[in-house]
Amino acid sequence: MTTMPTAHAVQVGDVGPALRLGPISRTDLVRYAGASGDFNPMHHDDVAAREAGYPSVFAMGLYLGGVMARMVVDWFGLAALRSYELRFLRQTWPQDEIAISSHVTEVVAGLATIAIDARHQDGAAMAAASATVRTGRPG
Amino acid sequence: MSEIAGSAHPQTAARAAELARFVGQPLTRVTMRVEAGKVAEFARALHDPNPIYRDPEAARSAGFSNVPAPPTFSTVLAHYPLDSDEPRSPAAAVVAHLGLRRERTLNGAQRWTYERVPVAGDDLTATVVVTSVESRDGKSGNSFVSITAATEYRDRRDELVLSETVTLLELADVPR
Repeated sequence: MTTMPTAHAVQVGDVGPALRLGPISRTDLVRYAGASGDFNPMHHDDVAAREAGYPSVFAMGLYLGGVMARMVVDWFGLAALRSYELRFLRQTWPQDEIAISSHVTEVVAGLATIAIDARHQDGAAMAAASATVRTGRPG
Repeated sequence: MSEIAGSAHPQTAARAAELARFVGQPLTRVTMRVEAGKVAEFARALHDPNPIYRDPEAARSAGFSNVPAPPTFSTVLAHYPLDSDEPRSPAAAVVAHLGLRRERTLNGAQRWTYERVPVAGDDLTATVVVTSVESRDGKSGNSFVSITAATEYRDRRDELVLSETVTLLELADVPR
């Protein structure tokens, strides 16, 4: 499970870890609220969310974004991480099931860029992430 | 989200103009500890079984001096429950100073650049600056104000550990 920060021979197109998140429950969101300290009621209070005009509570962006980051840590080890970025494309709702996958998009001078995709069960892209990791190799 | 810079909606453009005065202003400066219990709790909330987040021995085997903070853990510091009525934590400071409507504010994008991975026991001092405010029109017809804030986290020796930018979208209307 623990990945040592050792050299990884990777090439553009290599496919990394994947996982299926969900169906997301309200308990998942409340647990993440407590862990992160993000108590915006839109993420845990259905009454407040409906009053604001939403059909229900919805997930914090970083709940999904945090799970997506795990693909890179499981693959290269946390010590290899240089940068991580997220772009959110759609809100995440209770009962959503999201398929997360990862692949290498660039390898330059000992650094690899990893794309992490998150796709809803209806096929839509939920968020796009990209990470830069040290591969420990000059190529 | 595809969009055009500068909203055609007068109210959204006016809201951006009202918030523009915060650009370049430091909003808060606060020191917070990376706590081992919070690291484990955060990993649990992300369904991540990795032992490096629970076991100092596993963390040391992976090259860390103590349990390391997972990626995106800075959100725990941003929402740190400080013993004060003042909105001093990074997230609270941005929301309070700019008066953001929390029920209509979504996370648009976020980026972290690591100098090193924070570990439990680190005391990190966060400074937050708003770097841009723009009004935009989304494809769906909804307009929004895009607010970008940059946070630097420095350790006890004042060395940069992590820099972060977040782009918040304050929507004109709740999305349908």
